Amino acid sequence: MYTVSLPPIGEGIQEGEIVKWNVKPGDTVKKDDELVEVMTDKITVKIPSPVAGKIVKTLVSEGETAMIGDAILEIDSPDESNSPTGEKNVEPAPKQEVSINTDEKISNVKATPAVRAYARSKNVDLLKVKPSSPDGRITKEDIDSFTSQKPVEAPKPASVAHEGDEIITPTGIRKIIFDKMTKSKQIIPHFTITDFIDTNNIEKSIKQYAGKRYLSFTAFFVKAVSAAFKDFPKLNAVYNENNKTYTIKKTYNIGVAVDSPTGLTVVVVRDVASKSIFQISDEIKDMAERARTGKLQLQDVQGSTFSVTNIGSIGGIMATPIINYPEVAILEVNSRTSAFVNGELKQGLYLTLACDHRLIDGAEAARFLGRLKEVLEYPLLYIGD
Amino acid sequence: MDFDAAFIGSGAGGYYSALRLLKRKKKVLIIEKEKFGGECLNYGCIPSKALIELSEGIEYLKDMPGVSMNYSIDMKEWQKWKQSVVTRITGGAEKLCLSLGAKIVYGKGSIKDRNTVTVNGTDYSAENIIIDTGSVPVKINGIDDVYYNREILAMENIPEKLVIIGGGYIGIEMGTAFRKLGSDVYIVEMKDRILPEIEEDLAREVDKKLRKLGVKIMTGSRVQSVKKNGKYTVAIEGSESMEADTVLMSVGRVPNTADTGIEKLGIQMDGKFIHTDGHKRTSVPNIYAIGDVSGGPMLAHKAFYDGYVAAENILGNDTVVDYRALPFVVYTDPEIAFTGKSGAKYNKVPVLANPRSLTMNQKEGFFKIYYDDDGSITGAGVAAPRSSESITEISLAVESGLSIDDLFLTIHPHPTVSEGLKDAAERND
Repeated sequence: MYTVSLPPIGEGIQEGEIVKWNVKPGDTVKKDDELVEVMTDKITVKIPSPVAGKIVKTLVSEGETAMIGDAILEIDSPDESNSPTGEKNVEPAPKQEVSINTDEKISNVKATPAVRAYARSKNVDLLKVKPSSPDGRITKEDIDSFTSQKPVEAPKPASVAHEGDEIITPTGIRKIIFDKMTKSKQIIPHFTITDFIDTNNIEKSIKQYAGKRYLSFTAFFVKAVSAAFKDFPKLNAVYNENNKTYTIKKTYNIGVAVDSPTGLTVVVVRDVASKSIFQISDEIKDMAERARTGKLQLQDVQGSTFSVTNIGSIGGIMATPIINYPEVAILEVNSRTSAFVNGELKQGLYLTLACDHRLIDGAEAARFLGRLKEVLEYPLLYIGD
Repeated sequence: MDFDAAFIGSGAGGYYSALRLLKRKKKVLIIEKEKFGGECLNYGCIPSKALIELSEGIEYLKDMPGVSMNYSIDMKEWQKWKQSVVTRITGGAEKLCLSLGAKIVYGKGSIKDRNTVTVNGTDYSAENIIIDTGSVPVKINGIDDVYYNREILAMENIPEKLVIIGGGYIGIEMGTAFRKLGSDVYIVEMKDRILPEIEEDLAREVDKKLRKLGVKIMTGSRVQSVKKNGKYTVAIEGSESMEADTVLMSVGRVPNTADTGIEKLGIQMDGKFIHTDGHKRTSVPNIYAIGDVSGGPMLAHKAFYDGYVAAENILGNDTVVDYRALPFVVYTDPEIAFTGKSGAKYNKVPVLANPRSLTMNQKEGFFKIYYDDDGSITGAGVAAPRSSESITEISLAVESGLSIDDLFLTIHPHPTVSEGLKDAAERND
């Protein structure tokens, strides 16, 4: 018997939700056939089969979460078994199994026959009942407490649906956004600061290269942030909730929010300081395209240290962004508009910077934003190529 | 509707299921073409156990040092007694059904439509129909006039030379019994070992003992022909032909679906068996099939269990079969029993280490408990005196998810055979 464990998916990823099994008991698989789709807080990955063989049983149900290294599947494989065997008693097991085909799935949970019959009479799926005893045996009382708490799960007033109403239960990417946003707003005390920048020079630069080299508008902001970090390293940090510390990151990995069919995805331009604005433009374009077609790799979405969001391309002259937890700041690029600067009407846009006030004070944020303004209004001076 | 449920066949599954419904005030029709109680009660488990018990009693005394005896068996008298036992059981079941209001009709029942069964030209309507028509022995064209389970158990003499074709559990049980009663027994098996459907280490114990008793076992042997001319002549491929006064054919059983009318309704089949779902429903939802005819091991206690599940569903209690610990027993020497699932991890204790077995002058066999990584018992194989009785302890453990520690910590009386299971449950570390 070969036991498949949830393999390491990526740095810092400790668990994943089983989204969909592509195999079922009885199926025959080849090595590298896709077994299961696992969603982490970063990305959905497909786990290939490490061996060829016949699927015996899945150990984690769809919707459940498994830790990296947890056994998730058993495969009857001619390949060398990885299952622990006793020192004695290693005589190969002769087969003797009464196999009778029925189309009912019987769960293999620990419970006496009478308790199993009771669960069935109450229409309770034993797999969903948490045993109260440490040895994992489900009792009649466990079933009773499961059925009695069930109605409480749905708070009545909020979910009273009238005809035509639609109830949305966040799942998949939406669930990840749900959890992350809740965490960010619950844990991080945000404050927001706004300033107007003149974008005349950025537009000139883009025009200058039009038809020759692709230059993305967003890339200017990504590069500018990295230029400004040199004097404001605290803005490029991540928060560790476990020990309540911050880690100031030496590498600038800038997350860029992109819209994808499944919802908001943040792609990451790594080590921005070492890349030209053209490289950054190309990378953002490439990753945004792959986000739309569902072809992102794990390294495309993990490890960001600061984020830039540009909903200004759609609309809104001002917004208050939510920090991409566990980062400490986020820059919002708003819609192009005009404003009077020193009595003169200028074309440009408002930048909004949201910061974790526990680490960054208003004064520092204001200075950082000031530096960004300088960089962006005279981009060639700072960014070059 | 005339009835809530109509049973075709009153075998183990049928009458048991009928009783469950009758006790819950359902109107029940039972149709039986031969004898109430079916194959197990009349021609199988019950009479064979009576015969085996007799042979074991005699062998026990013959084998006991210091005991000498002269005995004779009047098989005609014995058959009368055996029949009285069978009648007591079948008659008891029939009377109980009648007293609870069942209508019992003798004749061949066949399904006319999904709510009608016909017997002796009369139609009866029923909400539910339960097919419990059992199985029949495999008969091979060209081999006629031999003994099958029914005939061998009705013998009024002990054969001098008995050739058994088929080393499955029926052949082996009968071979053991008649050898102990004095017959010269030959067992011809096509496969490379006897009891091919049973775990090899259990079968090996039986094979060893049979040879010790003087039974001639021919494995990997194929019978070419059986001719009867006063005596039987059995021709075996690649070996000399044998003469015998009795030949038992026990090469397996097939489901009995002849003339049941199921083909008219287009009921889905699994090969020769009637396909059923976990509720024991056929592809026509108000028609159920239970026992041998519905697939799986052909065992009376499986038929009982199927009958229970079908009855519960008819009563409106959603129930499905769960055969996680379906035991089987072969009444051989030593008696062998198995339940649950085998696996790579097990503890094994020999019968030689079991004091109670030694007082019975039994030295062959073992107690073997299979368990998984967290110690939960998954099954057991036992070759020991009365293993048919002790195996249930393991079935209960499997059904309830008990561990070997639970079994070990349960105080077993001393001296008993079942202590062997307790000893096999002790961890070695």
